[in-house]
Amino acid sequence: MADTITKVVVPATIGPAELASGHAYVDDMELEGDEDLHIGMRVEVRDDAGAMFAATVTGYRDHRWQLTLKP
Amino acid sequence: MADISVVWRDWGHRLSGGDDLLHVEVVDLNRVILKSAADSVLYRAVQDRRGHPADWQVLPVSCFAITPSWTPARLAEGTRFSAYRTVRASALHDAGLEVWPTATFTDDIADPRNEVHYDLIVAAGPGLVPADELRSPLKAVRQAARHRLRPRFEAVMALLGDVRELDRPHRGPTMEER
Repeated sequence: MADTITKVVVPATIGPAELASGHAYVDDMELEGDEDLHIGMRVEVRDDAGAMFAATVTGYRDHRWQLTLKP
Repeated sequence: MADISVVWRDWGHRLSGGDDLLHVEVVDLNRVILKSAADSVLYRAVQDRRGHPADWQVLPVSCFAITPSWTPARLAEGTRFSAYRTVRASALHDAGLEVWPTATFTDDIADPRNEVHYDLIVAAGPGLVPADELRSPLKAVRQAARHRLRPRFEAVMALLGDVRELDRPHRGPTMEER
């Protein structure tokens, strides 16, 4: 039986500036609370329109996570 | 770590009562509430500009002025949004809501739509954002905090018009696909 790998989905706003910078940011209060994010973790970002982006968690400061979007 | 920043905008579009504002449709109101609450901390400098006391917070919702050059389709460029709602600026003013000209930056990169960007201020005052509760590990606590904020957002959303679908240009088949 094949293993199923389920990626954590993180909501974030992705606009032209986020795409240009390659980063999106999400505050802890925007999360469900059980994501258990950590730096280096691969996640999927769901933007406000429901589109999905692959990303890696690359920073954390003042309750905000930095997500680096895959090109 | 870089981050998002927001500044008061002294340049670009000036809002008048007859202007229409576009708000990107987000189906889940909880998402709107949490995004607004999370962004509240980014507005300290803007609030200073408005003369707000140091203990005041704001709940902002992003929107854009629709102009002949900034059509809904152009505002959607570089995004995936496909639905939006509009509201006449005068309707917001009549409801006692403030609309602030602001510009947003991600890692110091300006949003190309900044010249027509505004923040609709859902509420402003002291002790507005229950940040600790919204970040609580207990889901019931988070839910209760969201629930308390919800009526303010529902009142503002009720002022917006019906949902409109974006008329994105259709991409025709490529030579290889024909």
